[in-house]
Amino acid sequence: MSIEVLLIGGVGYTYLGDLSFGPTLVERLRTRDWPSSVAIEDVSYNPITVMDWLRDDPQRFHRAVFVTAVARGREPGSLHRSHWRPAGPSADQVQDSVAAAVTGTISLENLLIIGSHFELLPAETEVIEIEPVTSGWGEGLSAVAERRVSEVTAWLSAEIESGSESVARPASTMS
Amino acid sequence: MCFKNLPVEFDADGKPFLREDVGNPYALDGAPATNGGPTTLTRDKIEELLERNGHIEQKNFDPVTRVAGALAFHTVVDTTAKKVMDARSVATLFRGYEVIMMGRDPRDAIFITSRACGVCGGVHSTTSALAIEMACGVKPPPLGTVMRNLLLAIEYLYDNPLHLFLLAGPDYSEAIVSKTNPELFRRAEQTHAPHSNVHGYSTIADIMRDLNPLEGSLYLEALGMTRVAREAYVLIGGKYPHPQTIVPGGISATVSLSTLNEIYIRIQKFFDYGKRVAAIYDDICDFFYDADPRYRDVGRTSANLIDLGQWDDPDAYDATYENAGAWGERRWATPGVIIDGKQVTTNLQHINLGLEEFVDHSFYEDWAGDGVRHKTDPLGAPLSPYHPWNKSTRPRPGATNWREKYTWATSPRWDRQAMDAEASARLWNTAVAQKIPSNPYIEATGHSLKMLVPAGRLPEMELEWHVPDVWNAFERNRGRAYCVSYTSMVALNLWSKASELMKAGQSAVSTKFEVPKKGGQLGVGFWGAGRGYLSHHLELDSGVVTNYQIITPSTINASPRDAWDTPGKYEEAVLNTPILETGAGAYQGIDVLRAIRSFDPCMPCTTHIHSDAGVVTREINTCACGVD
Repeated sequence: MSIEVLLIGGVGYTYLGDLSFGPTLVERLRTRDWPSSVAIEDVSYNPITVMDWLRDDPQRFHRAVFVTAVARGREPGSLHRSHWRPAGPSADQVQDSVAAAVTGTISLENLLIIGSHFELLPAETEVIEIEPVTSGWGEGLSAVAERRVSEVTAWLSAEIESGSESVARPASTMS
Repeated sequence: MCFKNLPVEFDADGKPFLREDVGNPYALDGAPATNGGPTTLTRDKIEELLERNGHIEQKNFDPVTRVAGALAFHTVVDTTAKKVMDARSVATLFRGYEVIMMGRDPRDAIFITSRACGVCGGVHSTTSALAIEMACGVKPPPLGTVMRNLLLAIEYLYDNPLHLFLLAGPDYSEAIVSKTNPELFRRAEQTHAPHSNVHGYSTIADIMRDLNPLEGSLYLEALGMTRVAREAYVLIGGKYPHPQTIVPGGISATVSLSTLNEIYIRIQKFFDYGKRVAAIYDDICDFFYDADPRYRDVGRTSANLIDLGQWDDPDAYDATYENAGAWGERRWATPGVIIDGKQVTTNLQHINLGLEEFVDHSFYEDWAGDGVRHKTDPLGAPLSPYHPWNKSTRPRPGATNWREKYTWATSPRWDRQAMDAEASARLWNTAVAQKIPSNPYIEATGHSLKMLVPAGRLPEMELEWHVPDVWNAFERNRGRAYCVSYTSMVALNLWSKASELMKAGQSAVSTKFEVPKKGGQLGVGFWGAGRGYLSHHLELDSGVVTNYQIITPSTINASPRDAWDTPGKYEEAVLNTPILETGAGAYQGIDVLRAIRSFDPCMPCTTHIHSDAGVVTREINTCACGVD
């Protein structure tokens, strides 16, 4: 009997300050033991390849939480959590996302747009974003982002341990 | 005599020398002889016409979509005469891999320069490995060379279909053609597809429907084929697009017969696919020509093409500059320069001597006034102050000014002429040189390249790519389409060679070496991306990099005007393009876009983005693109 699996996916760049938030979180999460109903993946690569991976077993994940850093002019270091609700990107937007993906762009937004278009994302998909404090070369996150890694780790752990995988919560901001 | 502008001649033994009767041999005064090219108006004249005539309008494409990275294009169009009057190619982002490499251990280059591109990281890794091998005097064992060749063939099998169906293909789809030229689509519905027995489509309109983005089966199939290529690639490279196993001296992967079998299973999927891709593009190109001969002018440029060749013969390649002319001509794709449709050299040393890079219209400072570091190459042949081994990368950001500086791309030239760097350049040079190693699958006839592709579901077929009589957007795409079969047949030859070596017990894949800690060394990697020409020039001093220069195909094609105001190839192609769009809706610029996209632009490679303030991202990009 197959079990329902939660996918926690980090998206980002390594060695680029807080833009490495997603992959860094994945690295930290992988140092802990998780139940078999949880898959921790670094999906920081061509979104078409991510789609190929999801297509191999389209029913595997019942839910996904993607974690990344995106500069949107919000308070630096703030965390933002929301459901991914595809707002029906236009065909041109999807096409642009595919073109960007196959030519090397790594972007959660592209991954979500392409995944939605090809209907490969789990029905319940959440996004956790941090507003980056730093985006320069080098190892390590900013002190604020480091704290956020711990917070997100604790939050995901608590949720998984309690078995409460309800995602029916409103978009929230943790500043 | 391969040079007509540079004052370099050859003695009786074929050794290049600088003519003594020229006072300042590399002076920039006096326009070089070029073979045609469009007539260009001065910017002052253009401004005057814009002011006086309402039908002369600026049409800007910013960004040009469906290309890799950030490219903008400025045109001035006479909407009455349906003619482009001015064209400017603008690389809008700056990156400085050349700057990043300074002072580093050369071995870092294989990993750092790979990040110049999110598509063709492996070719940058390989080209840097070749440059390091030359500088450090290390020759890979035969299987190391063959497996590296195979990896790069697979990379092309990813790259070319991607461009043909995901980036350029939509320009010829029902979705676009029915909007921009409805009469053409009506004609397509009535036109039988001549190669229907190969690709299975009855009419040209059927092909166009399946070229539709996101839904057309050709679009979706190409997405699937990128997966096949990636799967084959990681069997050698470990990961894609930035391989972990390319190293100076060979590769660092373990190769077994099982690895080879896994690779073969994937390569053979391209046999039938390549037959169909060539048939589809043959039919599309010929349909447009028949419908309106003016399509022969879309993206038309003078036939000046440059390529450095790829896929070394393991028995010939010794990593030395001294023997580059000889081992280059033993490659599976012959290096060469085509000027006005005629091949003028296949010698890598001679190609190297003709290279110069200018920054008159680019956001960089000239360096030539600082003295020439290398007046000659390692064989004593003359080098220009503008040669990559003499270049310094000095960014100087500024406002865009069409009269002065307007792009982060530079102007590479060969013998002071604008060149086209193309996947098709490897077909063309190989076809006319007739130096390809003897093999069962590919034959160079002097005017064409024949490919005998084994049976799959389709029967065995002989494909023949002919040297075109016009060089334009359609022929660039047609050539790239034939490259799928060409590359897969090269891959099949390489696979056979690798199997032979394994069976003979020659399983070593790398040679140990030390980076010299004393003195200075020069190296150059001569290779090509899927889309064409790629060179890395480096200089070492006391074991560290003191100069690193990358010239990519898109640096060459996207170049701005040079010191003599000669347009780069995107610019020339657009200046020659007639506006044939007839649709009733808003101007789409489809003819201009077909011209530009036919080059398979890759702007991350072109401009090597980096910012001292840190690497910033354009939305987030593997190329570590940053905005200055």
